[in-house]
Amino acid sequence: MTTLAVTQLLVCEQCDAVHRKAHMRRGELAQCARCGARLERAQRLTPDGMLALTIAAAIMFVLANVYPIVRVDVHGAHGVSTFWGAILASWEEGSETTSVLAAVTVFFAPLAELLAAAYVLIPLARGRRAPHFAAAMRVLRLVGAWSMPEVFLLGAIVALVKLGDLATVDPGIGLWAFGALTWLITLVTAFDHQWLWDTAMESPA
Amino acid sequence: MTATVTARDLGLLPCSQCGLLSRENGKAGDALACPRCGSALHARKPDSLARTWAFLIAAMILYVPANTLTVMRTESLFGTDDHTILGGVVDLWKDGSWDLAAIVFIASIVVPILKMLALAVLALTAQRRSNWRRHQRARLYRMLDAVGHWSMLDVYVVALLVGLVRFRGIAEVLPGPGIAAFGAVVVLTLWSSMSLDPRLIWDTADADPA
Repeated sequence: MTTLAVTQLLVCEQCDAVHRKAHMRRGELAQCARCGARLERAQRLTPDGMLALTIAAAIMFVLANVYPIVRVDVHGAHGVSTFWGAILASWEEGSETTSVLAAVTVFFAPLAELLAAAYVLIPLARGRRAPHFAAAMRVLRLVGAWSMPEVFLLGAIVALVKLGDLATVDPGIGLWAFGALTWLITLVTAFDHQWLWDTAMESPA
Repeated sequence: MTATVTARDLGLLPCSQCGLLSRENGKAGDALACPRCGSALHARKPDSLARTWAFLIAAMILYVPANTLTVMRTESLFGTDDHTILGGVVDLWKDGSWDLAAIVFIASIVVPILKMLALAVLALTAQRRSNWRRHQRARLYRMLDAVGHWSMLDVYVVALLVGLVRFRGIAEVLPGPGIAAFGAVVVLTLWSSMSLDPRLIWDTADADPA
């Protein structure tokens, strides 16, 4: 085992077991023989494909934030609200904690995730490594755990149903865009970071 | 069955950021940095158990006000109502949305409780270097990782209702102190599970009993 080069080895992040790297076909998944954790995924997508997904997600992100997520009618009074409109109004009403948590997990973290992914992938799609590649990858890893548009989508559905007692509600384009964003950003989050590192290191700066 | 060889056995340090394997040839106690990405290298997450416990205990304490205090108040022409987390589930159920009531019940009540219990079990067994059900504990850790953030659900529900329903004199939703405590519980349990190093499950005294 020790005679193998270090580059031929793969270590399980979750139990530290050492494995010998195997050749994998596209889309194949390597699992740890001891604890069952995911070791590595052979990317189904090329950097081009990843970039396309990231751009699609970015477009949905813009739509989700620009268009109203809901229109509310209560006894003749009505209001149309975007995500930011609702969050800022919530802050004004004294719900600062929830506003900050929502802004971080539904806006800033996904935004940083998409920007970092695009920053890394635009040069990589042309076979180059971005300057400050390591810093961008660090951002990608750090914010990934705090990006939760999928939970927000469900929260918005629950809120609209609860509002149903009190008011007439119509979901807006923004909410549909959040639905699409949820699906696309899940794919962006699933990019194998190790693979991105290895690919970038084989590319000139 | 062949004994598992670990990176630690071979004197290798895997980078937690970029996955590069480095040889551990510095003196003990040296602050090592990954030659590829510059991150600090550690064989195990530093102070993993102390941090896990600190965040977990803080979360457990705040869980009490999160569930007993009002998370929001609704004022409408029909009167004023105070809602707790559990009360919100009951309201959905009474309205006939049993499916959403079940989802909110799981995300807001079941997930936080099971998450805190699971963290306590994992931290306690790791601390004792226990051999007990290591495969199941490894699976528990991965489940924790996958479902933990779903408890943020109620934070969004309150943020949206407060922000959307502000028709003064007709209908209004106001935040209660409970939701800040609930949000803090969600963030603290996330920090706690991020601090927990799953490799500690396998760092037991004897090699591979089962």
